[in-house]
Amino acid sequence: MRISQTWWRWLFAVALAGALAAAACGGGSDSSPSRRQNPNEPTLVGAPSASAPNYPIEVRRSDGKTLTVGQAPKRIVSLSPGATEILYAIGAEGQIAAVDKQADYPDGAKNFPTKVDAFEPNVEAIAALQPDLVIVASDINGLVARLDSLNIPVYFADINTDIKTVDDVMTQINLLGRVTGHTDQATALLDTLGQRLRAVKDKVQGINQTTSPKVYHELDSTFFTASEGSFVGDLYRTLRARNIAGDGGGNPYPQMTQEAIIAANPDVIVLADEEFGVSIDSVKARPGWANIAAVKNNRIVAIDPDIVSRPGPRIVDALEQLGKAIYPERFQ
Amino acid sequence: MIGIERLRAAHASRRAEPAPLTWYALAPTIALAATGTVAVIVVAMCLGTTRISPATTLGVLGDHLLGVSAGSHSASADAIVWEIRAPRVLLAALVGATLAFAGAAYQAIFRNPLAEPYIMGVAAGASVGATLVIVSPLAITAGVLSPLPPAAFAGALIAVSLAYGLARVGTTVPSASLILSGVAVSSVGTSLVTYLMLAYNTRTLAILNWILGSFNTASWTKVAIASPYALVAFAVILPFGRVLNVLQLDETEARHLGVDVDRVRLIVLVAASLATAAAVAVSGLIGFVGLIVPHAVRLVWGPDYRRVLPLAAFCGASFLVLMDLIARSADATFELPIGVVTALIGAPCFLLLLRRQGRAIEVRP
Repeated sequence: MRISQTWWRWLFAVALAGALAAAACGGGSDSSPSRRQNPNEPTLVGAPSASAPNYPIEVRRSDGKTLTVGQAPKRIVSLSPGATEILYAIGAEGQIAAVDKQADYPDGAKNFPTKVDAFEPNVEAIAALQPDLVIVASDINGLVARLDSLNIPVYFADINTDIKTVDDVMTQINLLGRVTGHTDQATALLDTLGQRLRAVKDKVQGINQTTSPKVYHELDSTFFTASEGSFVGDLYRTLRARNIAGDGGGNPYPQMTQEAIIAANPDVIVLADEEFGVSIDSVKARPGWANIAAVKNNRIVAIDPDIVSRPGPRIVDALEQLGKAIYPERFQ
Repeated sequence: MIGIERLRAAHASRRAEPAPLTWYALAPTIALAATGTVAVIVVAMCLGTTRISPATTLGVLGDHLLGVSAGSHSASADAIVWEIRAPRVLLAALVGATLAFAGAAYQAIFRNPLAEPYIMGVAAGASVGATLVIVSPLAITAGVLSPLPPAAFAGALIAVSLAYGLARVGTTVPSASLILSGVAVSSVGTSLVTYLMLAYNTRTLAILNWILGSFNTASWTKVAIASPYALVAFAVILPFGRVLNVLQLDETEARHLGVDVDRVRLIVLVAASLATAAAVAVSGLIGFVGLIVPHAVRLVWGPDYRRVLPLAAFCGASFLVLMDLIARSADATFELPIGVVTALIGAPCFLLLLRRQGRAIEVRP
């Protein structure tokens, strides 16, 4: 039940930088970051061939460099809780040497004997594990370059720039399947997830996004929220719901004013901050909130923040849960 | 006390000041400042990202305050004006008044132009208290029963008591030791907070958010928490205006003139610290106001504490209400951190004032 570190780090940076940037330029910035294709988005170099692992495999990293994997890695250090979930889901857990401290799903990852800090990564400690692959989702303190200099292979898919949509997560599952030599399992997982994803999309087919339910996604009790430009925002876009935070003035995780929330009158309130003491009842008891449609009609739901914010296979669970919360009549 | 008068007169003649300040000489300025502050508060309540006409706003206010129903207004307008804007504006006014007033009082008792309400460790102590709650499993809610304000308040008081206790030398408390022990206690508190931020990095944003200060979660409850302390502090410190003037001359001289320097300092310190602690507990750390507003007041109205103290309160209130208005309505939907606004807009305004007045700041009358 802990939010991935990298994600909070991002928020932390946004809180500092966004404040100044917003004050300085008033939010003139790219409008739909999630649809923008990053030229460095990790992709397979060359045509993806048949299902059998076909080493060597080359993967373009988020920093533009290329990772070459000669054989299936046997000592993976995963610094991304999302990637760790993927590794478990595709049966690659036997190849893991260490996971990061935030990894808490599945139980195997939660109870993993060797854990490293991804928030303040210690390159020495990582190198001492003699990894043959380090999975990095956030290049903190020049981590990638330092691992490169030690000739440790790094799989670097930047969570802030390259894993921004549900489709990006599917791409990650495919890539990690190939890199670890679990192509078949990855394909099977993608089939299942793809079916469920299509089922969700079918249910929201034809919903008019100018009149669909308005959603307020609460990250904490001071009204930080996730705008359309965030990973979470893509879930609501996929569900064709309206995000009351809009594009967030270019900020993926902006702080709304209470006045704006009340004026926006959301139809559904999604709480991703239940673990911090916010409850459905405490939201109902907030002064001035009684007339919000979601409060009046009892449309407040709490969701596990990890499944909505962590780019792993459970993102489809998140979509199904949010779908049920927003369109109870369509998701029986 | 005749000595004080004589000294004051001599002092006044040296600076070619007009006759001694009496209550009726003071009244017009104070009345003007009070009216201005009330006007700023009402205007701020009428403004916001949601367009609600001044008539509706005043109608809602009249409805709740006087029980006069001035036409019908929507439930949403009622909620926004009465539950969100009104407590937010009043809380900003209360905190602004407290910080500026406490800042002026601290500058007086320490005879130091750089003294501000946080100098005795109030901010650091409150941060430790708030941070401990944020990282603990205790429920953090924006609602009535949040343990955050009491924890911040307790932390602030512990820090100030520590700083005061450590600065004691026998029966006297030298102001230099007070400032130094305040700085020392502050740095201990700050390092504790930094450590907690790193150790509980999933809560870093929540901690940072609290430290930056905000009125986004203002409520009537918070107004009710902070106002008694502020009102008591005003009532206790305001009558000391003249004594604080004397204190500016020289500590030994003031003692000779019959001023119990340590007693005055303790009373003012306790009252100002309590009010600051209560303000910090409900709003987080809002810098700049407590340091700069008293100086701005001095630049415009001179350094007499009988004038500086009340005017600092009114100007602090108006200033913070206006800054918060910008923080909550510069962007249509999103919040700007109040600390950023006060510094970005307040600092240039102050510098402009400083240049235009074309004189050095005088802390001592």
